[in-house]
Amino acid sequence: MERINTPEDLARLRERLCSEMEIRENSNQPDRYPQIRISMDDRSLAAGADRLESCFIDTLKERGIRGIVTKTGDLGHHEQAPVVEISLPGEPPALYGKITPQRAQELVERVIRRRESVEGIVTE
Amino acid sequence: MARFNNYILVCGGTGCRASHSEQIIEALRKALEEAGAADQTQVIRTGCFGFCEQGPIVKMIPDNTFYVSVKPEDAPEIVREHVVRGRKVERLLYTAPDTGEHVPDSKHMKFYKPQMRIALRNCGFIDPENIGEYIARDGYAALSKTLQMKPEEVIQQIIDSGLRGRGGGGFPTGLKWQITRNTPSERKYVVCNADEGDPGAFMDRSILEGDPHSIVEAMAINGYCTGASHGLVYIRAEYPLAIERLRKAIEQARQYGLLGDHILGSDFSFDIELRYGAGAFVCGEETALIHSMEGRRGEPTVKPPYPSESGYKGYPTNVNNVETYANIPPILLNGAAWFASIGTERSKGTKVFALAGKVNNVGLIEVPMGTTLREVIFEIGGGIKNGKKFKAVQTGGPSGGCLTEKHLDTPIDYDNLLQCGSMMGSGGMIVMDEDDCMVSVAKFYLEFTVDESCGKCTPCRIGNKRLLEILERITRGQGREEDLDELRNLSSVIRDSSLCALGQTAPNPVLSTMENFWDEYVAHVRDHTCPAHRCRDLMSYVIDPRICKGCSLCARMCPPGAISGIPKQPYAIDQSRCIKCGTCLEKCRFGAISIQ
Repeated sequence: MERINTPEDLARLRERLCSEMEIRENSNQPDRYPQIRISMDDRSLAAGADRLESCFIDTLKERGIRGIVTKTGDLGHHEQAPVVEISLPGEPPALYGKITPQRAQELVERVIRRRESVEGIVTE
Repeated sequence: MARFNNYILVCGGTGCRASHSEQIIEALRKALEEAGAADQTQVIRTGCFGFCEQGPIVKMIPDNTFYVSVKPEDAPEIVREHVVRGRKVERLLYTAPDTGEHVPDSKHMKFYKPQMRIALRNCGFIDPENIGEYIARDGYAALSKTLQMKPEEVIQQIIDSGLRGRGGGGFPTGLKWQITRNTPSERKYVVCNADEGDPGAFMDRSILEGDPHSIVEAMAINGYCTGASHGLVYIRAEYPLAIERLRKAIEQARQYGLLGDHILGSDFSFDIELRYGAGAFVCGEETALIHSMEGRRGEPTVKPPYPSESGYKGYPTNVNNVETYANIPPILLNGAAWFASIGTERSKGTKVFALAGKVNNVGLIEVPMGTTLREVIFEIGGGIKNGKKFKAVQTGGPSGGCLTEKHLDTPIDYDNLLQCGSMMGSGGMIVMDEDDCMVSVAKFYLEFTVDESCGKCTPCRIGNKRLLEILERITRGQGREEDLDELRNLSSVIRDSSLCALGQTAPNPVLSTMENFWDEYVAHVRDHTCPAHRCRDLMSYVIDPRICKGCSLCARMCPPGAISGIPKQPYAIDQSRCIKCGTCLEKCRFGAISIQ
């Protein structure tokens, strides 16, 4: 806790504290930001899905991209666990399988940042 | 600060607290520890979400899942299922009254969709006891910006925004600030009116509990503009939580140098003191408030002189309501034009309402001026409870009037409500249905104002008491047709000659209910009946001998033993012993009992 002596001090403090509020701010406008949902079914969990939440959040932050990362119940396609669903604003959601931390970073870069079409799980 | 992946927001407003929200917080923290999730998920106590009927509220971030009526015992399941496994706890989700379906998140709720939360922007979002969260959301940025502008420029922004006093008077805020600024004096005061006396109103309380820093910042801005270095908050003692949160906020602001000497390196020094009310409604009136702070009896004095010219201890004093202050920082950050683009031509911005009474969704809402009453009651409010019929909506508290079916499409703003025979007031909105007796409603409000009258002026002290006496006679079945003329005449005299707004507006509920529900008054005084079956003395419970089977159940259940008869033959109620509790009607399996 330090005394704020100038307007610039206040602005710097705000910058620093802002990032702590980002998750809450993003969630306030869910239609505006890409959403990443991580399936927490048994197979996905066994395959390491619980690390993916932090992984996606960190990756987005490193690249300065705003997005909303949540855990969700069961996205099916257990043979491809861990399964993840990504929806870009205004577009239908897409499923991706066998997500590792590395693949997570790839998806953030290619699907979210570059809006490339990446092969995911094809549903009938 | 540690980095978290997700958050659980728990409402820490007075209502939810009374329903054990603190224990919910403890239970959640414990469950998170046990699940090993405590370093990824943070539990935050926030201010009021506004959805008070359904509290305690727990909101999951980032998916916005809105859990209602949560109990501390639910905590382990919420952690186990939702936090760890991403599965919503279905039984805790809100059920929409019209579709009967679960609504998973707040973004899809009819209660929230039409709302625009400006004064309530931080309530339910931040931890009110953490100045860091306030600063992160542009807190004190408006003050910082203000200190680099000329006071006249800032005041012009407020004038251009069209902001009007939210306490009920609706006086243009910028103009009030300008008058105080232009009154020369070596000492001036700015005051926050946090007395909030209207029964059922809790708009100001929620802002103070949920976002106290917004008031601290706005008062400092006000001080800078008007030339005051002393701020006083007059807060009612019945708000201990709000007092605590405000006290902490002031303390934190001082520690950070946002209150005190040379704020943010400027020449401006400002500090705030709290003063406590002692339960008098009349002390919400600015002159009475000032006298109360001076240690004198809370009685209004004639205006002019207005407090802006001569107020606290004779110095220029600028009194503003809590909600008015809450709008100041956003106006300065987003610009006057932004604020003026919301609302109607002469009522800009939004208004916070405490929606109560016979609606499904009781709670705190904030809507742009111009939203219709129909939208508030039937969309946001979810319609009338138990499928009953809408009868009236009372706005403006004890100073206001009742609006009916024909007014439902009125866009809400200061002038429209006045034209309809009511007023905006501080934002109370009580909805009534077919089971409410409008004469009783008028009596209820008058009981309140008579009790709260300071007694200084004759029209209010004696006049309102006479009005109440007449209404009491009427609801006891002793009314006469002449009473209606008497009510009208007396009301207009009281309105024209009382010293302050308490007295002047006390007859409003009477006049407005007489205007819109004349038939009900006539039924009471001429026929001695109460159409809504509320006035006990005008009701008789009667057993229909054609339907009664003589089962004797009612006689056995009757508390004063007023029912008698021979088994298998029709029973009868002795009216002189009947206390009109309604038990017999409730218990009769044959529908033989009715109210006349």
